[in-house]
Amino acid sequence: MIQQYIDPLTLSRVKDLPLIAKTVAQGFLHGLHNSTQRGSGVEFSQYRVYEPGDALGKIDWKLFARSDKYFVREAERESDINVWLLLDTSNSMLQGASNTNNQMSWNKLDYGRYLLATLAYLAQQQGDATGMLSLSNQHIDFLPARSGQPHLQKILLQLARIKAGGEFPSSHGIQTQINSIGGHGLVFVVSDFYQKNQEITHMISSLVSPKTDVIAVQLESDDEITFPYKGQIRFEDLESQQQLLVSAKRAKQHYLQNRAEFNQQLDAQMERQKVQLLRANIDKPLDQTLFDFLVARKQLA
Amino acid sequence: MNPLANLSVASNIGLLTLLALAIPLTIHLFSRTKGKLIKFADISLIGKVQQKPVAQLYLTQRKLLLLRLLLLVLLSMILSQCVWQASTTNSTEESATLVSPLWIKMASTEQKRSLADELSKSSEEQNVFLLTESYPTLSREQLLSPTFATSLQPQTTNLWMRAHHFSLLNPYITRAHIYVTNSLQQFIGSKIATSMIYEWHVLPQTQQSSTELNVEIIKPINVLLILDQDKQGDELVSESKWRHALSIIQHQVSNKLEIYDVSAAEYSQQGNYDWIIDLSQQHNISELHSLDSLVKYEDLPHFPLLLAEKLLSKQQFNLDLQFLKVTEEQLINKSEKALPSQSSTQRSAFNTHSSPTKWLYILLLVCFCIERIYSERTNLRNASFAQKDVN
Repeated sequence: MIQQYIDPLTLSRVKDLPLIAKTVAQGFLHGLHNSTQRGSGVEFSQYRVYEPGDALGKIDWKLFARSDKYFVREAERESDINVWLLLDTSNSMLQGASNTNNQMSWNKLDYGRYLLATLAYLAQQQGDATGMLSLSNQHIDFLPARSGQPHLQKILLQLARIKAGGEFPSSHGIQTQINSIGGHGLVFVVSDFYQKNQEITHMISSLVSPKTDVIAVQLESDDEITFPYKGQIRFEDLESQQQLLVSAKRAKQHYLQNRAEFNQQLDAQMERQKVQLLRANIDKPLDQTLFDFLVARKQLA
Repeated sequence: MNPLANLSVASNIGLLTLLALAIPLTIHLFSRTKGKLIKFADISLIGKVQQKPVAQLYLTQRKLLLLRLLLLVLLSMILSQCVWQASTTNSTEESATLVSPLWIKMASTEQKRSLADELSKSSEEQNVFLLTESYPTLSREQLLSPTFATSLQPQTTNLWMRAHHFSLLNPYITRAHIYVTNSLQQFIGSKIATSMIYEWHVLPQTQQSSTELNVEIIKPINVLLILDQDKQGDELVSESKWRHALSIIQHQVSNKLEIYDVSAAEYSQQGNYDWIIDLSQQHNISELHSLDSLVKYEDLPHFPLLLAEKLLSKQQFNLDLQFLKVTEEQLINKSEKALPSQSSTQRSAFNTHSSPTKWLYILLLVCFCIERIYSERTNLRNASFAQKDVN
């Protein structure tokens, strides 16, 4: 199977989040041989007015014969899984991709936004209740887990409106929202995992339970991975605004070593908590991340 | 051989502009505090790299700095008027041999053979020139040929001027051996100072009769008599008397007088005459000729004497030329006269140096364009980094 991935730059040009979510999700689903929608346990849920683009196989022709109108059968799988989408909206998520310019900006926050939108779309397609939580010490946006198309639209709208600001909040500030995330569920935590006092790790540890499956998605860019800078550089921290003047050539080796240690430490922490950690490069196609996730899940299964 | 060794400057003051090199060096050295601003997610991973002590300053944007330094160096070279001294193929200076026509005529066969042998030994046979207007090369055969010597017609000339002109046309030749006689008629005119080093080889001239010298003093003088058709007139314009007077003059001077006559009605301006004596009654010929060659009616009583005086003084002058000589000191001593002002073509021919100024200007323009383009690209790149981080 040859998978055609959508280039992140292409995604950045299209500002329509619902369209992107649908396109990526359908492309993702189209590549799967085994549809997760088929099989036993799929029950009729409701009729919905036909919309252009709906599969013709879903049209209830008997109802059409009776009413002379097109209606689509919507099925609902027996499921009590809540899908939670947690997005880190601290300033460090504004780190840009390396292959962008002034006209097409693409950063970790955008990537996380589109990734979660796609996941929300997929979850809604499968009838899962989906909730969302965006986290920074300046803004916390919470949407409870609900199913249905209207709720999906709310999630997509919320994702589109998200702004980055400040730092990742401490556990105390989000305790209420964390407590709402419970029950049988699947939690996606999308962040770059830059933390001062292990706030993100503590949050994840409070989410992990026998009923809740947590999947951590660490976002990184090519610049962070390869450190391609040259000459005298003044680095400014996106969260603290502290500046550091270094010779990039001299700092590179030191940085790469620190980064490797950081990743190793994160791997160890996630493994201890039995959390699946996925690394996503924002300079690579978004749907590739989904497939990598799928492959990883299959291997675990 | 180092090509830069031939580079020299005409104006040392222009080199002072090299001091301006310190300006871009200082700017680039002390602009290190700016650096390129990049917003990064977490600078703690970069760590604290030890800052350089003041003694170890770091040059920023080295390529741009090099371009700017090159611009200043080129400007300095243009202002200091760099010249490139043309190097000769041999390490020694080039020399030439100049031989005057009179020397060839007067020198004996042994002297000519000796010169030819000397030139063969020193392998300078290609650089032998005849000191005439076009400076033709002189081969060994021509030098030794009696026929060639006979064909030459030495004229009253200024050999100093000829030698100087030769040096202008051949700037790569710095030394010349000049073979001349010491006859004054070869040095009529001012002595010219020149940068070429001359070695004079003077052939002392023995007394020669005018018949042995094929010089212009024996050119005949053409006299035209304009007569009336009917040959009437007063005694003053009597043709027979004039012919008699002219024949007396002819015997006194060495110049041959050729006497022609024509009637006034048939006279036309054609013909090259040294003297035109108007014996006709019409007296309107004067409008057609310059006063130097025409003897007017009013001057007729005095003219025979005037003509005789002129001819005799010229003859004396030419005789003097035959017998008066220049001394060796007069030949060798440098002239105190300044070099004559040169036209641009002469100046370029005279220059032993070539000026690379034109190429320096072109190089300066090219470097300036590259520096501007590179500088703009650097600024745009820095701006895009800043913009990307803001977004």
